[in-house]
Amino acid sequence: MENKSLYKHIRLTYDENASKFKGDIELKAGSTIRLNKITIRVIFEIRGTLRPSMSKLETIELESDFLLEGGRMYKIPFEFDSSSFEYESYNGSYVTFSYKLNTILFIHEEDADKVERSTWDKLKSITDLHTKIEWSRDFVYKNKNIAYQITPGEHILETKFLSYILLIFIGLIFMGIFSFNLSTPVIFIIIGVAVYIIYSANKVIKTYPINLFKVKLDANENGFLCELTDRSPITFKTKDMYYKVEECVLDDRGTRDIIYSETIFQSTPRQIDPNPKVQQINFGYPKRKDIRNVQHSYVEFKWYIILEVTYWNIPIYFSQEFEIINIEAEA
Amino acid sequence: MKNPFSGVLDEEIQHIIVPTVDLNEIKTLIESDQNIIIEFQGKKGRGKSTHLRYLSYYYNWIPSFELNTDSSAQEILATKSDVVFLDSIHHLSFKERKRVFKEKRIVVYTTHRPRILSWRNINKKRIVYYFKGITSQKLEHIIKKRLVFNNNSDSGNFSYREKDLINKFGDDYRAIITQLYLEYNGK
Repeated sequence: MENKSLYKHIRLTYDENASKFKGDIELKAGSTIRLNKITIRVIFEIRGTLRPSMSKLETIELESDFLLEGGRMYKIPFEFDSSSFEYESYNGSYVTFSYKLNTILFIHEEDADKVERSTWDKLKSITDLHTKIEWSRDFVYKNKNIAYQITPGEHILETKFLSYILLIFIGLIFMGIFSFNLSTPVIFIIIGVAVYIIYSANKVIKTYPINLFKVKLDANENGFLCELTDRSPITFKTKDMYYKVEECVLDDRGTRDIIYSETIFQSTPRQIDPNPKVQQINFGYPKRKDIRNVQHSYVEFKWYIILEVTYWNIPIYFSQEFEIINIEAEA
Repeated sequence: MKNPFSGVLDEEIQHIIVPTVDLNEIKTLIESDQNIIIEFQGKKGRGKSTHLRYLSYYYNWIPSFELNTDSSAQEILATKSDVVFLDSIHHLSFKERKRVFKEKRIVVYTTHRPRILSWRNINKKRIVYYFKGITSQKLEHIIKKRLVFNNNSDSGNFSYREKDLINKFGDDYRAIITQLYLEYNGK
């Protein structure tokens, strides 16, 4: 009886100094089979709760017209460099950046039945040629030479607090209308006045942004410096400053878009003195190096500087987005 | 290891789709000589776009448009093909929809709401496929197909309860798959 077994395995190591992946494909067939060619493809994928994308970074033809003698172990070496790799491997809440090495054995048509296929191979071969045997191995790419660098700039911190107050106000108006047994004309007058007040308030808020707090961000030795200027006429009871990074993913697969976001990093809140009008706070960058400045339509990492103050024990958040870029780390 | 509940590429849909409507019947209509408007109607997350993407991949020579706020009928009418696939037809104005229905022989499109008014005075056969409803069996089938397709060795340990998911999300498949994605990631 013919031995239809096929042992296939990929070994892979990363040479950091040369920025190269090196490895070999181990093959051992039960019977002698002819291979038209052996190809490997380096693939980068972005997947998650979004429209996925796949790009073939490199295709290497390792062998052509290759005879795989039955019972003999073959080791076919290969290498490829990582200079074209734009992003590091990343496993986030809603998105994954991953690399895989895809190997394809193109079997000579007359020898196609000499190899036993797994259920997986059979499933894939519904659309692919039955002369192809394909398998993949995921691998991780980490570039240790990447560092973060802030883009210096001044920002006004914004708050949604007034919008929330406005929403509560609208809610109270409606509660008032339904709680009292008011006649229809009175209801219309109340709604009219309320709409006018809300419209005017909204206009004022938009025209005069509440720029109580301003920050000036600049690079320093091991992170960045945040200079906070307090222009508020009142003294808040406490003030905490920190920054956070949000992973934002746009899912536009269906008839309606959905945005998913999750905080993937938050610095330790720094309690600051509530009194001085100008003060400086130093922040270090995250130790994890996989937060990349992504140029992708559906994925974005957003950095926010946040000031949390309390007034009458009510926490109020002021925040603003700022930019961090990735640079080559110094040796 | 790839999360089996992540978004799938167009070429992968054929392996994971559990059809809500009769795809062979639709294929017969598309391949016919008739003048037809085929509407995929349902709320968001019910699989309309997935079915359309499946057809679009199957008939890769037929132009397919994923419409957005910047889209116009011009780009659709400019194609030589008399059959077109349109995802999210609500991005076209009433007038533009009528023009497309008039000028293209077969239009297959997705929509949240019926587009009966746009059909008026259009002398074409009109067929609506409704995307709604879910059963535990169907959901189990969808989940199993994804797990098998992704061939993950640790998928066997992944537990889920179809009934709880249906109670929480109803027939919103996209929300269910997103929830499963998060659960698979250990959230």
